[in-house]
Amino acid sequence: MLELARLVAIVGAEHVLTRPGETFVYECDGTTHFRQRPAAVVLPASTAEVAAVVRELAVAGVPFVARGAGTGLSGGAVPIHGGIVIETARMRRVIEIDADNRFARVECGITNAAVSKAARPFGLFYAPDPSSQAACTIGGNVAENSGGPHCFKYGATFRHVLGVTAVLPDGEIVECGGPLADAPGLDIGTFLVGSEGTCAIVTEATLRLLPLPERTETLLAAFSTIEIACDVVKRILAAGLEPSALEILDRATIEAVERSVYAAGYPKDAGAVLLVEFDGLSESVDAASARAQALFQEAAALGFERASDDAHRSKLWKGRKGAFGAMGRLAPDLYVQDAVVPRSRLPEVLAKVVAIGREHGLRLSNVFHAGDGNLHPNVSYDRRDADEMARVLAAGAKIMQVCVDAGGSLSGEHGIGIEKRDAMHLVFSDDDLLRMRLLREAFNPRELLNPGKVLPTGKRCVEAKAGMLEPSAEDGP
Amino acid sequence: MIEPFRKLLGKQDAFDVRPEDPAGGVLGARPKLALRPRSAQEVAAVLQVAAERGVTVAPWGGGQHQDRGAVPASADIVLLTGQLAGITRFDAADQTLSAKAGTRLADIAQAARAERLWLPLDPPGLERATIGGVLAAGVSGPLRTGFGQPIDHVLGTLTAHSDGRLATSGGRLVKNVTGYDLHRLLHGSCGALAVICEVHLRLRPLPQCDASIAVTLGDAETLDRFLALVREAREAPVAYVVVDVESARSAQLPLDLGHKDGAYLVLLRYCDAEKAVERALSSIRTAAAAAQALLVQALDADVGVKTFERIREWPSRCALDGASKPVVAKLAALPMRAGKSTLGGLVEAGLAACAGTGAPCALLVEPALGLIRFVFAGEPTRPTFDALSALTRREPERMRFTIESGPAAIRAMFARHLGRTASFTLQRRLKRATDPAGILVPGRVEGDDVA
Repeated sequence: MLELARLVAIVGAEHVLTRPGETFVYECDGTTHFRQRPAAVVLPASTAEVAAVVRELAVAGVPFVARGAGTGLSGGAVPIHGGIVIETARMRRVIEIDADNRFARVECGITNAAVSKAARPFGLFYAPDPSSQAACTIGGNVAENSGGPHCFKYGATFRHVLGVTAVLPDGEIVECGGPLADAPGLDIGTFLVGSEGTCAIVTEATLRLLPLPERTETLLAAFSTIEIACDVVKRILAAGLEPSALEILDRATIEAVERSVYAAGYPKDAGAVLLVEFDGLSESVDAASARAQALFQEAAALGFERASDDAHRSKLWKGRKGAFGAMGRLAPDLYVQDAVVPRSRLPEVLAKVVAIGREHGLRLSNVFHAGDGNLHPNVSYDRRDADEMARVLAAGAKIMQVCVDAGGSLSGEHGIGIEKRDAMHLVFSDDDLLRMRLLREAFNPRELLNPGKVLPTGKRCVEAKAGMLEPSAEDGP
Repeated sequence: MIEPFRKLLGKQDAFDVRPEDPAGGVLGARPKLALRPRSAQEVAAVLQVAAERGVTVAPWGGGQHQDRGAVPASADIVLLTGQLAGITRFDAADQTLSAKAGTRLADIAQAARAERLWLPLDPPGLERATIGGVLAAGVSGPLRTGFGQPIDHVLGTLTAHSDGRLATSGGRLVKNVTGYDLHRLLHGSCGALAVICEVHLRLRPLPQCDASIAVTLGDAETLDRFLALVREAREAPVAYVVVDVESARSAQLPLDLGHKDGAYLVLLRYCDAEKAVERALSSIRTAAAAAQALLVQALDADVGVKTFERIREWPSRCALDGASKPVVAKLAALPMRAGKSTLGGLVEAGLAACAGTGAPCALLVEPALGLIRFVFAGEPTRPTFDALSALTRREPERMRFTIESGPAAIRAMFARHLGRTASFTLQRRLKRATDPAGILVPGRVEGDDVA
């Protein structure tokens, strides 16, 4: 039995929220169709406070979930078993920026964008750039191994985390890695990146910073069909070019964007637009950009624009960055699917995705990271309409199946969370899932930390574990 | 012990280890039996039988990096992955390739090159090293500066475990966040968690232009000045090492090494568009002049690649008698400023410490990573390691000393210098999760041997 007074003693009364009006916002993340209100929300101010809170919860046997900004899109921060949410909003410090050695040490509650902002005066930046970077936190990014448009060149979060301080589910504080290369022992810190907050609470991270590129050039090309746009992506990569970003928006997205405050002047008659960005040395960018423009012409582009200055580049990106917002304005809710396929299979998979949307009578659009085959079919819907909600979920399941059938996987950057947990059998065998469960149990043996996420808990999984471990509890509530 | 394994694999692939076989002295343990499974399923079956009989197993790829990690407490069987070889899938358009663990890196490189692609991994022993072995050892070469470590190229793995099960982690996709990434734990685990059976890799396009440049400097001060200028330059090298000139001579680098005052040789390699590479070389010439370098030599692609190859392979030629590899001690420091010390200052202090304790050594530095390696041609003694270790004590958060590799006797003698991490308990739990029977090179992962 947990006495809240013990948590109050650690963080102070004003940092323990229990009133419904206060805990209401913690019942879901960016995926609004999974909801469960926590019993309380605790806001610690340091790693030591997180550890002390976790120790109390572990002793009391109360489930708990760490939460950054709540921008996740797979239900990962939803306390589906109730219990306590540990909110990291008070842990926003930049502990250290070592510009000479190009790293930053930050607390987990700092936003992604704030890290780059702090690094900018030193001519440095933090490369992962998820769309929600103005709001999402580094703790959340580490948990989800977040990507973003530029991770095609720079890699997702795990490539940029040099070390972490983490609190294990029993309250032990561990230091993993750091700015010195080749830390001895198993690389636990890197494993924690992408473990969706189910193995440990990362409270501090040492992040690699990169020099700001000398030159960045953004190209926007319009094509009559999405198939041609995908083919141009293939040709760009076959030519040996290495863009920093390769993004495609389909006609439905262009229409939504151009009718919204995010209008970027994209040609409305285009079947798709392709955004290509190159960065690096001027000479390198010039050569790559010239080659890409030649490829646009060979593919009979309807037209293209080239932006070398910040203002023009921002304008071209405005539509892409505002695409989810624009789609969200069409209906009360937006379902953002996230799946990944080998990029050579993009055209056929996209055709099937569009057909699934049509079959289910849904308003579906596509905006995606074409370079790494990361699809984001978006459905604008109203969750109060039970029938429409059911069709959205059915279409989502079919889209996942289509992607897996094409050699793809369930998530490119949003994670599994609760949303795709029961679809894990589509890509992994029982033995694969058993190994993952054993790994999680090495950190989180009682599954008090963020229970019910990532791995299915159905009968098959318990059978696979027979003879090795005690079966875990079924999901609640 | 041999019979159940012969039943599984046949006589020709389950045989006694002879004293002259390499799989003895390097590991430190004395395997009695060698097994050569042909498939992941056979590996899993072997591990299950071994677990049932309580015999320990050491995976063995190309045998190039077995001199790393702690000395195993035992290794009854050496599991050779030589027959677990071959590229299983190559999607050139997706720039991905899958290969069985025993596939030589050289074979992957050849296949990739045919499609104008590249796996920019160049660990020592590249000709014989296997992809599974390189991932398990977590070993890189000079290209680590530009392209990262083996794990940075790995998209997923198939592994066999001591409960007789196989496990997939990740996949063949260049972007994927589906499930827990066991493959990241395998990196540098020295075979102690699982036997890697297949690896999925991301390839890169071959560079449009590839050129290198060599700069000879006279002392640690000018070296520091030059390194700082390289660090400040916009152009980033993909490979970047410093060696002492004497070692460069004994490595027979295809360069002019005749300058009488030369102490350090800096080698830099650039891969980019042609004009960008030209600019990088020009920028290095300017930096070299500013740092009062003694000699600057531009190297075309072939000579540059050959030079880096020789540097990469040269330490293994310094091996002690009877061992296949030399002793390598490593200082990890912050690249630009380790507290009060500079990289050049540390290099000089380290060389002096070695010379002062009667253990002359060669130098191999990766400045961008802050790694300083001391390669010993003779057998270093405890005072040498103590002297090197003492350099880091002033600021342990900014410097770390470890023994990277060496014969078993040295590694056993200096176990404390192999390094420890914060949570032994956690490491042991992870070992148990992946190797429930505890038969895979027990004692090799730091913390694993702690009761």
